[in-house]
Amino acid sequence: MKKLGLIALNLTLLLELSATAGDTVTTTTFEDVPTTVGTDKYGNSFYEREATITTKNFKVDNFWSKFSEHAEDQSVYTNISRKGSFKVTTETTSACTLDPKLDAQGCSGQKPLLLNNDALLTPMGGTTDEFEVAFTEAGSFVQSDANTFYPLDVLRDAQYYQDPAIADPTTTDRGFFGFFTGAFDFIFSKTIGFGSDFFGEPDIADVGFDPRSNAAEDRRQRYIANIIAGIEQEQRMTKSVDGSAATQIDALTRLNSPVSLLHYAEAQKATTNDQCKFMFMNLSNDGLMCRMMGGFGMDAWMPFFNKTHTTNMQSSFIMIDTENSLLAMTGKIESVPYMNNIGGSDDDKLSFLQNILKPMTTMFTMMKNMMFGSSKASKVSNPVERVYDFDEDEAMTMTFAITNDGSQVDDFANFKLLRVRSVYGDNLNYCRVKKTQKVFGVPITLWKERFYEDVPNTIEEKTSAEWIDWCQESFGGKGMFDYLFDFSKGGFMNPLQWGKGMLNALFGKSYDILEITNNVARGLILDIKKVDTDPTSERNTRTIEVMQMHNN
Amino acid sequence: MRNGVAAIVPLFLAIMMLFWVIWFLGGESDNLHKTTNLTSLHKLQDKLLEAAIHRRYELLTRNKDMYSETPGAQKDALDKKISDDGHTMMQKNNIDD
Repeated sequence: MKKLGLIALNLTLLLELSATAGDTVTTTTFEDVPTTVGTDKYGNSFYEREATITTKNFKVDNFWSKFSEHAEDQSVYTNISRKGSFKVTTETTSACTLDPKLDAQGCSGQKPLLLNNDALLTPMGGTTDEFEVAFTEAGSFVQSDANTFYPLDVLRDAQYYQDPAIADPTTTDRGFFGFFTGAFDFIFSKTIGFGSDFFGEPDIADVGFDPRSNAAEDRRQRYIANIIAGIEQEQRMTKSVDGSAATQIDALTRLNSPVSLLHYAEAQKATTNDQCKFMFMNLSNDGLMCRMMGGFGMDAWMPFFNKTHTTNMQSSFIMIDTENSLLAMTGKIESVPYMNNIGGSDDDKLSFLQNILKPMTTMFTMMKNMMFGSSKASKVSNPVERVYDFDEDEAMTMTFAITNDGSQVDDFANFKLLRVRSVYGDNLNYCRVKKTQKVFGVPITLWKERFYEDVPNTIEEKTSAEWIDWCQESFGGKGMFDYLFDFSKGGFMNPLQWGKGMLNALFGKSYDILEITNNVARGLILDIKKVDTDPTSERNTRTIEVMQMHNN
Repeated sequence: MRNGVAAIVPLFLAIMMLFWVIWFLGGESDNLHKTTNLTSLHKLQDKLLEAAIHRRYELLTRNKDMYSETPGAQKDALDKKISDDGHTMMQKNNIDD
């Protein structure tokens, strides 16, 4: 009897020894290669990834078995393991990652920009994934205009900028645009001049709504909000996946249902140079846009003559909003104040401009009509291009909607914004001249009109192509850029000095140009690079969903 | 006296029954205990696995100079770190030694 007890004791000890032989250790492993890769209906890229967790020598202490047949104090399981499949979705929410206070529901990677799918067929020379696309007024989608992008109107649930003075101060911090409030005041100004005298009669039939209405103002704020923060999660556009309906694009509908091409104002006119009334918008005088346009952008380089500032400016609100929004956001992301620098002192301006301004060497003929087509500029001359080059690593990533025929969103693509190129050009459309001296024969038929007229001191308005050419020539053959920035002298040239001299050199005192009426047209070109979204980038939002967990 | 002796039989039966109950229910209770432990281990593993994949991306995002996704020393370091973290968590839960 004693022996039996001894054997039983030894047996128990032996079992215990074997049980404690291996330590309990948990290891986690990841599959090297993601299993499936694709994009979801919002254009976010995703892939699936598997991971396994294994616990070796898992021990469970037994109590009752002391009284039972098993006689084990502990059960040991060699391998207890679970395998999980995860779906990793990446969204390119550059702007929204700037501040954790931003409401994630108000942010997405989608920007309200629609890209003609033909643009993706023609990469820039020397590249396979870089494209240059020109902003096009969204009167309607034109399929034959490749390399174009259009602004879209996409609803938000009122999650866009509100004037902090009006907004409830207790909610300003949490409000979606609390973060951008400063930027809005600084760059875009508080008021939109839809009611301004500088607008002609709005073409309601064409636009579909009264541009002076609140609805139009809402559209503008919504558009800027969408460009900066992306479209609200709830309102995102969808493409067709597995037979589901895609987002329809309804051109120029009264309300965006669900998405329409945006067309909130165009063809602003300005006739004076009186502070910010020079502007096509009734901006606040403190706004950066005002300083930029008044100080640097426009009147500084317009080739006015005899101090007669007559400007007929053809420009698009939406385009300028697009440009400013992108610059503001990229500046924020890259911590380079692209916008601030333009409004600085002359010295700052110059050094900054020397860095960012490059003379325009080529105008893209194929783009010219698109850029300036809607601005009624028949001939764009003296183009100036402002180029903002962005650091590729830091660059803002954006999701563009892609369309085949302009009727629906067919796909999405992610791009890095490499460059913003702002193009200005002027287009003389008439020239008022005064003849001061009788001039005799110059044997060139083309010039007959001017040199054989023999009425002294008459003032004439010239609109013929030859005269326009002549007036333009008389301002010198150089481009505007050269007139503006004479870097050899380290400063801006006075545009009033050269015009007369050039004219006199060519034609003596025969004619003085009294007034030139210019159309100024603006264009916007984006250089974008198609990218795969990187789930480990701080500029992207990553969502990880558990697809499946099972015993291995 | 005889009748009194006979009365002890059901008492014995009852004691034997009690031992059987302890033997049987005790064993079943241990089985249940093991099952519960295994189930909760699985649940813990699920949570740790999900946390691990999140943490792995977090580490990759924040320490691009240290870790990488492409096979090599940096990836091995990352995988080891994640695996070790899981082990530590299991230790804190009194499962791993």
